[in-house]
Amino acid sequence: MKTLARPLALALAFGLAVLGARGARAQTSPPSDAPAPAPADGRQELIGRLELGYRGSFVGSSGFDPFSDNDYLPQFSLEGSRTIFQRGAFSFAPGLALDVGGTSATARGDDTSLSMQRVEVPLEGRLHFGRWGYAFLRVAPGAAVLSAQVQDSNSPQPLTKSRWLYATDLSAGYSWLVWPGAKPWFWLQAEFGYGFVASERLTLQPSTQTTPPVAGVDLGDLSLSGPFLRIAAAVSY
Amino acid sequence: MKAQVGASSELSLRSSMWFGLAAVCALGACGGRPAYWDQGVPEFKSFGLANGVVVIDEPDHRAVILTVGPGLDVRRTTMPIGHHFLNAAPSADGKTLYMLSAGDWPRQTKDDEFPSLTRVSIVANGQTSSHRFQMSEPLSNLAVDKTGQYVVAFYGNATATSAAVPFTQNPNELVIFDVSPAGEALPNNPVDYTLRSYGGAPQRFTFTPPMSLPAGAPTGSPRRLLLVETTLDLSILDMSHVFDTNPRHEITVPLSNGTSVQQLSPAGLAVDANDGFIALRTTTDTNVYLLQLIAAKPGLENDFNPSIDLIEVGGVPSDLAFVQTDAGLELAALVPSKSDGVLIELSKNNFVTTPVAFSAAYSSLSIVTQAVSAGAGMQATTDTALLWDSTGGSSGVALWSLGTSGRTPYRSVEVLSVANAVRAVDDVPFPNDRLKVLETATTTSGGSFFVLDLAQQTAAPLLTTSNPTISIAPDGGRVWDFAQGGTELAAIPLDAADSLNPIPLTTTRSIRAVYDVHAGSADSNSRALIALHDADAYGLTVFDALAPDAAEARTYPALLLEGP
Repeated sequence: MKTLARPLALALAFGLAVLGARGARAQTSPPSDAPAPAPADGRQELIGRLELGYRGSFVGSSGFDPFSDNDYLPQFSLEGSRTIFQRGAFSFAPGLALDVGGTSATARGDDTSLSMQRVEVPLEGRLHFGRWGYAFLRVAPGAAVLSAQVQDSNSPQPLTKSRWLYATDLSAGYSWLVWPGAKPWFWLQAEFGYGFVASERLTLQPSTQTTPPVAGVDLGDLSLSGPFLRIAAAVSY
Repeated sequence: MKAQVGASSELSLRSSMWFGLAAVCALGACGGRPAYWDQGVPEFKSFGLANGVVVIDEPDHRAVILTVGPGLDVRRTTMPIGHHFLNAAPSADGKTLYMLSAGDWPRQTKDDEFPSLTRVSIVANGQTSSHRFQMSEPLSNLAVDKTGQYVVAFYGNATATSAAVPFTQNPNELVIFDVSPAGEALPNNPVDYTLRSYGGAPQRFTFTPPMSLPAGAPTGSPRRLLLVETTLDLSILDMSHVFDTNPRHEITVPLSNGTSVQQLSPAGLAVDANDGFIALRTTTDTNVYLLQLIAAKPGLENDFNPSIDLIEVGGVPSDLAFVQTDAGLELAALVPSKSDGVLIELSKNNFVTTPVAFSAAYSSLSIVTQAVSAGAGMQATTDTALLWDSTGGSSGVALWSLGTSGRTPYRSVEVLSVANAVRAVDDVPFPNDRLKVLETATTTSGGSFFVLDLAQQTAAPLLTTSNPTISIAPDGGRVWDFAQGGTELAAIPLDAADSLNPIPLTTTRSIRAVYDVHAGSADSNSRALIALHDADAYGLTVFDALAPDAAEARTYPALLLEGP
């Protein structure tokens, strides 16, 4: 993951910049002759959505330093939601979300890795702009399982720790309807927010005890709280 | 027109969104962590103290201090040290470590550190304290006063990296610290001092015991001297005036035998504090240079001045010591080229020399009077010297009794048969100070060392499968030996020297160093052995030193992984 996180982020940045540049160029020659897109008014639909995306979290905690050389935690995101309430341009959609990912690094010569699986219940309020998609605010309470590991040859077993932690996301974003034709509809979505994760003392212990017994190592407090972004593609029906 | 505006707004919205996303994604490739996480473990540098072990973690600019609590619970604490660690040396009592750092030299900004000396002390309950002395320039070598009052930093043979050593240095510049508790209050502590040079550079330092000076003067005041052996001469500095506003200059004693223009370089000295004698030998001259610090002529800066005598001993002496014989105070010199010892009478003005022929060439001697006389159950009035050849030319050791028969070798020299050449003789602390550990020369097939009992005049051999590294417990209770890079070690309890039974132990990782330290609470008699492993982020295995058992040991991995 260490080797993938930075190139992936850079590639995404580059790709988005290229798309942005294309959009900017298009701005200079308005498509006056282009046929109007088919009307697709999300306001009038009770929709179910399935999202697949990439989440990048920025972790400033010094306890994260042994596991990452760039303070960045990449994750794969999967979410399903269903609109259960709608009034005018507003709607409300709860769902279930899963973020899976981790990072690895070398710290003082030791190989380290950290993974976090986050399960949340996103509660999303949406403000629809017709064919342009919708903006949303989201609160997503949940839990995360944190797993940390250090490989030091002075311990016959890896030093590990796993712990379930309370986690909540607060975020806002915009979902753009890129395929407004017949159902299913396709969306591109960007989201920014802040993820709260309860802090944890990283006292790593050998996974199994040996003779002679091996003591643990205390890496201090780790808080995975921090701002994040998520880019996702979604399909609704 | 309206449609165009609408399309333009849509494109602007899209472009903004994409550029925003691009900017945020780019942030994902940014960020970082302190550089020390990426720098790996430093070159292994560890120092054993009486109450713990200090491991230098230069990338983090810190010392990791390891102490052992009850139940072999190893506590790790860290203490900041100056940037760019240069060198360290422990105090004689093993309670304090002095660490030299170059700082961020030469300084480029106001935030860059000055060179410094950090004093770290560990008390028996594992508590630590430190004090940092700022220096005006980086110096990479240390001389530590055995009484714990002074430390001298000097250039010497610079072992530091080129980045830590200035482009231009004056090798005769010293920084003298008073590291006693009272010294912290001195306004000009440390003091920079430059030796007057006639072309030489300091190479060895000796802090004398308090000497009543001038010698023979009824009103001589006890004071301590710093003797500096340079590459060409001897400098004598009165330490009682070093921290004065206007310190007294040192006395420089040039070395010349009067018959040759060859440059002479000091090779070692001996001091007799009672009579103000300093005996000096050189690397090439067959004379011993005997100095007595007598009263100086009025008007001179120092109230003492050396009177110098050259005493021919028939060959280049390899070691010197002032000894008590039945004739009074004498100077003993070893002349290995002639397999001789030479006794020089100091009570007569003509310095009568008496050669004593040995059966082998011995290059080193150590006074062991107290240990031998304790074994005999009597108070000795004359000295006994232990002889060995540290150059590896001759095997075995000998005891040279300097009493009435000191000049008759067949009566005064007792040879103890040791099969191998003795490389070094290690002292064993009280209460087993009757013992010495003889380290033998390295071999390609197996190794050995000997436990010499001066009272019983026995030398018990201990054989090892490879060349051993020896560590003696500061409480005198045990010898530890291990092979560098191996996983085997052994404890040899010394309390019953007539039954030296090695206790074999193993670790799961290769051993780089071992230290026998105090364990438990301050009033505890417990001791622990810390075996350090230098793989990855370092680790250790801790044993109960008083009852070593590998099954009861504990391993602590990743010692340096914890953040600062």
